[in-house]
Amino acid sequence: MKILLVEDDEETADYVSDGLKREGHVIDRAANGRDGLFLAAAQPYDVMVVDRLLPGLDGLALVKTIRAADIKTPVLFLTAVDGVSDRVEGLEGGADDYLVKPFAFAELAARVNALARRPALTQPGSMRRVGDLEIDLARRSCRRGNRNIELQPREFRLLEYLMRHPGQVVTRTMLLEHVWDFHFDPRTTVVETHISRLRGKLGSGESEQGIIETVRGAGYRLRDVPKMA
Amino acid sequence: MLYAGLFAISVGVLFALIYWAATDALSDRIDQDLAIQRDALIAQAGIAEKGIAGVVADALRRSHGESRYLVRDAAGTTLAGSLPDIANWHAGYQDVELPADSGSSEDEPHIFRALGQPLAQGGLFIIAQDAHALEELRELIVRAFGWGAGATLLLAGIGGGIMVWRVRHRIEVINRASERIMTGDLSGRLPVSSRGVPGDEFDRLVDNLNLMLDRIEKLVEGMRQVSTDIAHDLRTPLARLRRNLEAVRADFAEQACPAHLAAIDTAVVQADDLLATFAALLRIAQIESRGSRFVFVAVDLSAIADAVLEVYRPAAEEKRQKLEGRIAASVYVTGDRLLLTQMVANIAENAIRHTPGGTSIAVELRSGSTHGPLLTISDNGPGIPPGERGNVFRRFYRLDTSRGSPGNGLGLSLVAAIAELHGVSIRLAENVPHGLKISLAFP
Repeated sequence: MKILLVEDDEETADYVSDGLKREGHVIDRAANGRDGLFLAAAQPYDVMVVDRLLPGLDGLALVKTIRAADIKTPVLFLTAVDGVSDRVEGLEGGADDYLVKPFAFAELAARVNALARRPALTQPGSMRRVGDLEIDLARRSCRRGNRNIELQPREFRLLEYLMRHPGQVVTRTMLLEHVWDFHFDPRTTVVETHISRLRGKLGSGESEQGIIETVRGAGYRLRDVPKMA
Repeated sequence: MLYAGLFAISVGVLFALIYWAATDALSDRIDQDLAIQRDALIAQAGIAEKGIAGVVADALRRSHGESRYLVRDAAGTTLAGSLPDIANWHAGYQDVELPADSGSSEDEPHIFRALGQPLAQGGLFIIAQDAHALEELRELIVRAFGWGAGATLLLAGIGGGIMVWRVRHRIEVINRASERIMTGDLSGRLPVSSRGVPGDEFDRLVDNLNLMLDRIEKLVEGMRQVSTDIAHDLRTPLARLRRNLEAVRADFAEQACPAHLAAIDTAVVQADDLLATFAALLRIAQIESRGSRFVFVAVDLSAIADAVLEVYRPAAEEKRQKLEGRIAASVYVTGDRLLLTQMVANIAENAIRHTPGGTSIAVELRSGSTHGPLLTISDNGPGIPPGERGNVFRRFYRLDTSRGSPGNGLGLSLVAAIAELHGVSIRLAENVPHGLKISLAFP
């Protein structure tokens, strides 16, 4: 993937770009808002990572400008302060997701991946299929192989979110934000317990391993197994 | 009230003096007049019954004077005169009530002043004058005083009312301003009245209070700033430490033995805990300073409570606790949805973490009819000793019983900050028969 990173703090920029390069992405860096805008307008990127506070042109203004110019590249907004209003401003300004500094690299990587693949996954129709797992968004039903699985509404949303990102790492924070709308870090193992319940309901299925795997230090991944013949 | 009483008493005394002086002077004059007439008649006719009777009959025939007479012999028989012969005539001055002069019969009876003079053969000579004028004067004074007193009282009442109202108004303005300041707006100041350049006592009081507030604001600001600065400045090096740990782990993932990797993982988790503590501190500071614009809208508190229950139920069940909810539908409050969610979640989480397995935790939401909505979270766990209840909202405060368990001692501080921002009053109480009951009363 080709990623544009607009960040003035050199240390953070090094950290992010080294990490993303190690994951096999191509990184363009800009140290201020004006350079970022120039690069974003000059060539297409898969994802942009934009810091909130930038010299020259502010991060928020940068996002607003590229949206006004009809550039639809997904933007991950980095906010330095743990501020609710910054998050709201960022999302209203046209950012697709936000991350509060300081962050773990795994969190950033997971979010960048989730943003990049999003447009491809907005398939038409209400059926979603990953491996032998199948959900119907309209009827809110779930099947695995020939077996119907009864899910609570929240369990369904959890599974739906995982199925929107098959084969990708989804972090605990991402699940809290998108499934429960919790924008803070609960200190109990809320996500873990829900995942383990969902695993229990989904069962081992046709494949031997569980379909939701735990990724150490990062989060969870829905195993994107090729459909069994 | 005291002043009004004193005022009324002095007005009363003044009235009594005027009344007494005026009526006394007039009644003295009538008395003198009667005595002069009596003396003149006696000088003319002598002190015998017959002579007096003749003169009186003459006088009555000649004119209708102001005076009326009666001459009576020792047996009580009327010899002459126009006064009715009533029994209790006696010597000396007396007041009697008699019908008015014949011309005006429809009038009420008049008071007459009479003077009795014993005569030579045991008879009685009475001379009387209509004291109507005196009565009229009395009435006039009373009436004039009534009006005067009424007008005075009215004016005094209005003047006093205006004075009281102005003083009250200023005190009320000061009260309201100080309430606003007490509820957290430390930048607020008491208003100084615009009138009166030198300023009255109130203005001087307000000036002094404002100077005091300046100092308090600076102190509080300084305190906040220190804790916020520490949290903020330590976050960057901590994040760097965590990064380095991650990098080391990634670089040596293949070579290192599992024990080393596990040690690094533990260090990363510890760094995360510290970062979370700092994040919570910064969040509290941000909420307390009200600096950032929180999104205050109508929020469905029922939905928040339901979501929190649903999220935490599995965690409670894992600890073999029962988490139950009685949530009234569609209870709306004004606030920031994310913060309110965190507040309810923190309390629920607190109950789960600080009570043993087997505890029942009940979350109840009621829409208040006379007051705002009420959210209670009660458990039948060990509870908090009454002396400790005030402390649990302090930052980093942890009960002895929970020191062993993980946590940063900021959860309830954050709850308190969010509650204060929303005007929610929190009460900790004993849950009967044992346990803790936290009540959140929304405005």
